[in-house]
Amino acid sequence: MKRSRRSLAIALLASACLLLGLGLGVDARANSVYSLGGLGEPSLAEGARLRALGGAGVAEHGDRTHSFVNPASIAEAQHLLIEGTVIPTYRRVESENFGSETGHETAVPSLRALVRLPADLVIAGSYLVGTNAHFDLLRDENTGTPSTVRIEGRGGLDLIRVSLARKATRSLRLGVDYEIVAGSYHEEWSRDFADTALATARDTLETSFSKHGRWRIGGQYSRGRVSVGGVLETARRLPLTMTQRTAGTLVERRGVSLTIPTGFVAGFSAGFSDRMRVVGQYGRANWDRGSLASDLVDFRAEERYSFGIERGRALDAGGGILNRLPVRVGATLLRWPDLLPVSGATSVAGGTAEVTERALSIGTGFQSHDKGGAIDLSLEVGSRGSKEDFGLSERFVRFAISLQVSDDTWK
Amino acid sequence: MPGFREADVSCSARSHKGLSSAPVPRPRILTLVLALALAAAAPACSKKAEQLVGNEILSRGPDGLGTTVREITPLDRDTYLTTGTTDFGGTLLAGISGGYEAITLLKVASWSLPDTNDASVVVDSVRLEMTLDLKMSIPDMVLELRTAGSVWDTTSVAWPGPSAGSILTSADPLDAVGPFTLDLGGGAFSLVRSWATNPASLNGFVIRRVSGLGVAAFRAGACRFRIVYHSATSTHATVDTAVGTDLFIHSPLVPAATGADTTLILGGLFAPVVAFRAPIDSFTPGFSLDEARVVFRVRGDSPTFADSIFVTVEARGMKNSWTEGTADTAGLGISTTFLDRVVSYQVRDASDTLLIVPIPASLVRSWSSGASVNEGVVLRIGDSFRAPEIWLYSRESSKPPEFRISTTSPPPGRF
Repeated sequence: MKRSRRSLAIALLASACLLLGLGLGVDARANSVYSLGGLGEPSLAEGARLRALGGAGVAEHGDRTHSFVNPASIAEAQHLLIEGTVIPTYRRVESENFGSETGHETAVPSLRALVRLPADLVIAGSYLVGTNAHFDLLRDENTGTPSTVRIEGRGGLDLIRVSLARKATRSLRLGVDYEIVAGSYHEEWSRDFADTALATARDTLETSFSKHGRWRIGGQYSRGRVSVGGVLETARRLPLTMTQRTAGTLVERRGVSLTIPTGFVAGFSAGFSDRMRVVGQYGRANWDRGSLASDLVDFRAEERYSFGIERGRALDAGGGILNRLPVRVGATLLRWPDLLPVSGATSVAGGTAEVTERALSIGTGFQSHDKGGAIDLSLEVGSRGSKEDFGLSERFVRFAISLQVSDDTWK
Repeated sequence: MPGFREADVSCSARSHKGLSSAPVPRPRILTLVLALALAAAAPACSKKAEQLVGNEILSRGPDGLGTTVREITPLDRDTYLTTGTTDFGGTLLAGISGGYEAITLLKVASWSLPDTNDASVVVDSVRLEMTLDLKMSIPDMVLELRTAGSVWDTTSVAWPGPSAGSILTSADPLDAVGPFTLDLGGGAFSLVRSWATNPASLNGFVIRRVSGLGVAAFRAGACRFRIVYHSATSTHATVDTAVGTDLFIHSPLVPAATGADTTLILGGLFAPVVAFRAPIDSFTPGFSLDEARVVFRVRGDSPTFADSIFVTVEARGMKNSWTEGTADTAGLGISTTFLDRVVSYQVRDASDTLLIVPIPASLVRSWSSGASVNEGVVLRIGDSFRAPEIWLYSRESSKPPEFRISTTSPPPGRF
């Protein structure tokens, strides 16, 4: 009885914490400074546990461990499971001509609920942030009548997934995602003038796209302490509608499409003792020039290299607390798909450069006594962009908190 | 252990199988973690950051982020127009001021009389009572009440109006205590009875100035004839007859506008309006309109307002075409509602006074897109008789009015 009450209290408290984080995250803005052009900052959907391992989760499996990247990873779930992640991020940006600034924000990269169905099927529903295009910018504009321009951008690509998975054999797990690409890009422009005779000019730019879905097919194979996993992603063309509104007028432009490209993810998990294992993953989305015709951004394939080492929990209850806690370290190299105009260029015709992101991560986690709930933490330190190419560079520290509760928690 | 199942005994960190009666320790580490999580989330709320450094990579095409341009263009038409010589407004005027003369005309539809079958009725007084409109000062002058000497009707009456008939009475508004009263005396009752029994014998009444200078103002709709009488049953009784029709006519503005005048006359006793038109370009679709207004300069010799006098200048749209040779507002299709207005306007020092009239953005957009025909705007002053005329420089003068318009081209899209 005490155990149930305690687990419930933990779950409620943690839920409150997560909800608080979600609430704070709603108004969060100003993600990577590079998100003011192109598709926005690519988001890693994984929870803190896999983030600490560099995001290498394609081979992850188990009754309470799963990955967002591979639908097959949920095949061994036994009951109801809910997971959410909150990520406060602190960033320092240094630029050639506009000094340095520090920012922080909170984001919610993913939420998932899954449940086991009859016939050994497991179904899941997920919300994931694909890219984050939040930014806030202030600028003195001296072309024509002097003004101060403020741009507030928000939105990005959001993903809504329905996943279905099943163990095909003792070693083989298969899964499929139907992923709906949602979201939009929204910018509010306001232009204030020193001359009080001029009214503030306000414009709204909205880029929306048809909400179509695509398929993602995943599989995992395990033998002993070794697992391998892979995912294939299909392409989807999304017709765009670009709308500009200001007081008394609306201009709409159609005829441009955004094509979510094909892609794949492959990786492994290899244990070399009861507690130690290494994980690795390579992911690629085949963005290219044809993905979106624009003078302001070009594309290349998005690639993510992930690597991690985990020392698991002690299998017995003995030892000190450090011995009982899992320890995870990881590294990530992410090459953004966006090729943005280089410093001084006003369009891609003037030259482009890619944004490369490097991060090191470390993390741990806690599990409730009944193993129905867990809290995982990770700390990532990294940098992205090049001052030589863009005139600015960014360093960041991300702290991820994931909460996982299952029906065992509520018992 | 017989009688026990795992679920009956709580587990602990030391005995995870639950076969222990030791107290279960509180999950302090989890509490700590939750507290940390809470602390981490709390300060992570939104903060305005990177507002400036982002400019380093803000690339939105060779045309920049949109440009604000102010254009000052001259008007292509302006003139002042009279509104006719007949006024059916809320104020009745009578008197003379300079070249301006106003006459009030009244008509009674049907009369109310004391009981004419009562032989004891004695009429003490027949009088016309008018409520002074205190928006204007009360002049020291004599006004007379006459019958109209010729037929007139509201559809066609205009200056100089009907000829004057028989004089009935006269009075000075400055002597009025309460309403301004023109007392016809008790003897006029027989006249009233004849008007009542034979309405065709009366063409209405005329109130006009006899002597003195100034213009008196009265509230329209508040005039009445009052018959005061006594009888065997009452020592003091009254019967009131409302005046059904009231208006005033005034002399025309001289000289009339030619269309090439260097001065535009706005407001004052003659109540002329100013019509103007500014050409509007066709702008880039999606442009922002930051400013649209017409700036008139007031002539240095324009009459100045008394301290307590303010007016409201209304701008109204026009539907029909017009030229600078047009002399009257009739047929211009002036809107019954105003587009915008300048309130509490006052000419204090004419040498540096401007009249700045905002033009609604929706109207300018409509003109620019061609959705409506740009026939310009007319300016008028409500209750213009309260204030002196405003003399504005016209487009033919050395200080022509300016149409100032500022637009911002639309911002570039994200992609």
